[in-house]
Amino acid sequence: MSKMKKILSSMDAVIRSHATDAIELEYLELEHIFGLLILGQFVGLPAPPPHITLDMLPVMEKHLVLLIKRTEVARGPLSELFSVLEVS
Amino acid sequence: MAKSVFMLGKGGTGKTTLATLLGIHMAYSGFKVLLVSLDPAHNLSDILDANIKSKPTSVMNGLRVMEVDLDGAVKKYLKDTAQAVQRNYQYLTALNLEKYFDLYQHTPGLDAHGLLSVYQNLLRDHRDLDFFIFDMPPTALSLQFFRLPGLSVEWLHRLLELRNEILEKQKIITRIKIGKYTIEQDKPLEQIRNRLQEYRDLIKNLQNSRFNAYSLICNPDPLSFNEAADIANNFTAWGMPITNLIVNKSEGKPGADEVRPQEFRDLAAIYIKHAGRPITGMAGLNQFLSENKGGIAELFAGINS
Repeated sequence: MSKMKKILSSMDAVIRSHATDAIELEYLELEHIFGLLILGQFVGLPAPPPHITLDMLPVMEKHLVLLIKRTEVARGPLSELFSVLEVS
Repeated sequence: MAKSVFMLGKGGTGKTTLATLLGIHMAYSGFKVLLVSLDPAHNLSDILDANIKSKPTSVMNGLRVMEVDLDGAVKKYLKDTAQAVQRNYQYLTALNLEKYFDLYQHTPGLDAHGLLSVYQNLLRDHRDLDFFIFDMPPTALSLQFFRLPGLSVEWLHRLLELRNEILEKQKIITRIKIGKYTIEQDKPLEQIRNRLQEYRDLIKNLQNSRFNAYSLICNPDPLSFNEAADIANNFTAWGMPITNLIVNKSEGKPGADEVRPQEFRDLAAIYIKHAGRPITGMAGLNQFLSENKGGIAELFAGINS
């Protein structure tokens, strides 16, 4: 009985994870856009007036880390997309 | 709350001289006044023939003057931001950002923000005054100064929309995965909201004619009038109509401004005669004031109404 419960629980987690993959990608992309909008000057993109960037900077650590991580997958953006969409 | 008088106009029209004369007149009338030069190319020291510093200095009973250290204001803002970054960041990313702060010192746009923060600090720190007189920089920087709060609101509003959309998606993911959504503090959202509120309050304050007067100074020549008309149009669009128009260095009669543009015909003008000599030092300023008391009194009456 407890084995069955475990299996069902794992299945539930897998289904939930699948259900949110696409929206999670969208969410991450929006976070990237938000990060780029504010921190764009640091990576050569148009950005808001400098005081807005500087006012936001103290609370943007997560986004800075995210942007740095993004540069690591920059060479294979398609493979990342295909893995989310389960294209093999 | 003290009333702020902004002296606006093209470079060389006599803004600083008129601002000083107005300050002296107000002080003689028994008011407590702080005259602040926000023009990075200060000439308040030359006009008063004294060493004016970036801290308020008394030049007569009731009148203090200061020249804003714009470079120092921008440096302080960058230092405060760098310290906040060091305080809030957990990782070494903060260290890599240091070199960017040096670059920011001379980034266009930060000078207007520096002036704005000085203005806000002065308003906060000098609540005992009756009047501030702000001798504004020439048109380009002045317009940037007054445009900045509106521009900031536009940007922050867009960022707020995007941030809310992000948090909404995050909420959906959390609800599906965990089954419930726990509200966590989102620091960027909080920061955007706080700044947005600050800039909205600032705009509201600048639009309040009870606490602000905008005096536009020009000379009786077409170039000066045209630039003044541009300033007046911008200020009207921003909900801060010009309080009074001063035709400085005129012959002192309405005939002197035949070149006055149509849009200015409704605004009653105050005519200040050309001195024909340099007006410097307290003695020179007092002499000119006694010769032109009517014009300066009329300017003050418009501001104080």
